Amino acid sequence: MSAHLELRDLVKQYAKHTALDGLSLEIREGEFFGLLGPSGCGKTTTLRLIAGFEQPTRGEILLRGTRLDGLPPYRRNVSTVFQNYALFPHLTVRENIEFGLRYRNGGSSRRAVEECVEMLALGGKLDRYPRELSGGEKQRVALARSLVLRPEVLLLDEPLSALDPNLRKQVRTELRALQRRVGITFVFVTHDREEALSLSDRIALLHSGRCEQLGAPHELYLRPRTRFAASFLGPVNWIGGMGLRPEATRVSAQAPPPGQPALSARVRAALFLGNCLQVEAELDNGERVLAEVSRFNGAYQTGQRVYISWRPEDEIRVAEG
Amino acid sequence: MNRLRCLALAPAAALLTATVGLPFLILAAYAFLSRGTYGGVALPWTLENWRRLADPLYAGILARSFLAAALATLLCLVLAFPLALSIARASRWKHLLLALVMLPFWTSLLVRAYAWMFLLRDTGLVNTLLMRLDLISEPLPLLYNWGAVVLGLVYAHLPFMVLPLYAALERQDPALLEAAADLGARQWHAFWRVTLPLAAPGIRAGVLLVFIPCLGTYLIPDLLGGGKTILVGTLIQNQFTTARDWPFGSAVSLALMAAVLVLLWLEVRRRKEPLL
Repeated sequence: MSAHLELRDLVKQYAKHTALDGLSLEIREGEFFGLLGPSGCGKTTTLRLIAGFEQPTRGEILLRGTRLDGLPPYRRNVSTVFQNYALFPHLTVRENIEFGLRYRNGGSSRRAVEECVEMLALGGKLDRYPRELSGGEKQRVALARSLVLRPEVLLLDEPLSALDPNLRKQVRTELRALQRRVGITFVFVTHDREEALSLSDRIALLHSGRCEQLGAPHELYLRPRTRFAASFLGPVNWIGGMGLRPEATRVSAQAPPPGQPALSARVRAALFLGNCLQVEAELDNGERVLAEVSRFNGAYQTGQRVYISWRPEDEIRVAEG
Repeated sequence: MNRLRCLALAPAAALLTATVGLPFLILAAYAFLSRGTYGGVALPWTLENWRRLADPLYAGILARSFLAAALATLLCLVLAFPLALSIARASRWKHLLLALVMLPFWTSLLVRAYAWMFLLRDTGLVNTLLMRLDLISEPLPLLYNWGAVVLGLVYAHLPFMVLPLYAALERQDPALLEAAADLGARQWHAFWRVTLPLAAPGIRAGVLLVFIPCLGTYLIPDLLGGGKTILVGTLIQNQFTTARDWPFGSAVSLALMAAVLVLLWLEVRRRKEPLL
């Protein structure tokens, strides 16, 4: 499948630092694509380069094989949902949604507005001003304002970060359903691994302006190729040169059957977390491991001798460095 | 809490009562009295001063003052907007640039008005320079006319326009312009549909801050306009000095104040926030 949106060797240098250092990505049509990484990794810069708010120092951006870089934002058929939504405070919800319509040709704009309003459940809010809306409503207006233009690609900058934590999980589900429904390619930026894992069809993990690893969420989580990728996607125990996720780390009082990799250890702490037990154990060589085990799996006392074991297929093998 | 607030307000309230409230009451009383032979006021009470206000001569002066103030305000707005916008969008030196805008306040307006006279008079810097360059053969009449007055008004009040405009423009989220561009608006459209409407409170504040002082100003028209272009500020001053007609001067003052209050009331009615 050919790429819908392609980034080729993008470099973005500022006076004092390099934000992107040769980033290449191929984003497929209709996918929900996550750009994940710590702050300063270049993910927001990438989004701004695609939107056209900034120009790359080097490299190309192609939409269906046509160069986008060099064009001003108003000539790119992509649209951005800003982190703080950037709704026009002096315009009503309806005026916000209709803002861009006059710049797009096509006679069915009224129908498009109605569709978006219906899809995002904004029917009762059309005459309100942004300051009269809740965070979730603001986000839906921002989405409607962009989607009504039927962009080829929708860019979302930290789409959940401005929301109340209680609302995030709900909006996450809604956002995912919305993307499926409209079928538009979504590219979003986040520093939150749970957001990235739950929303994305594929994730690009960025690190120091480059793509550290690209893949489906389970690939990144279960088969990270670098130490950085393994640690960024979740807690990991490093045992020898090998990594093990806490939930793949087993704890038992009796020695496991022969043939299964196991190490003996001593429990340092066992915490009841509600949905699971968190056991912190010290291996005989002094290394610490963290295990999340089922609370049906028995109780552990501090100082108790236990065995740490795992399935060989759960081992995380990374390239050194 | 309430008693503390009263205590805190008391000094300012006393000062304002003594320097604004009482003089206002005196002025209000004078406006209904007759003129004294050697200045001052005398009985009986009369409405004569107010009848005189309707005289075309004085109505014309009032109208001319409104026109001068309006023109100066408009020019200030046109000059100040690009300036305020570029300061608000400057990536650095914002505070330095603002300080430069306010720099003229460090010198008395009187001194600065004389400086303009020095520049504009027949033997002034501008005319001398133009004649030396053989661009003109005799001095241009730059001073003591309507144009000099408006120029002086614009010069003296420009900072009062720049500051509220800057305040309104500076707090605009730059992401709004990006959003406008993102939705397809070119720069000019984004300016027209986003920047300008959002600057409206600053524009209204600036217009009031320039228009009201321009309306009553005395110094600039008197110095740069000579005796010729008489505006209402000069008219009032004349009544209290050479004309020795304190009651009429009081009536004109009150009329001017009433006009200003109507303007302020219209503005305050528009919004619930304070003026600045």
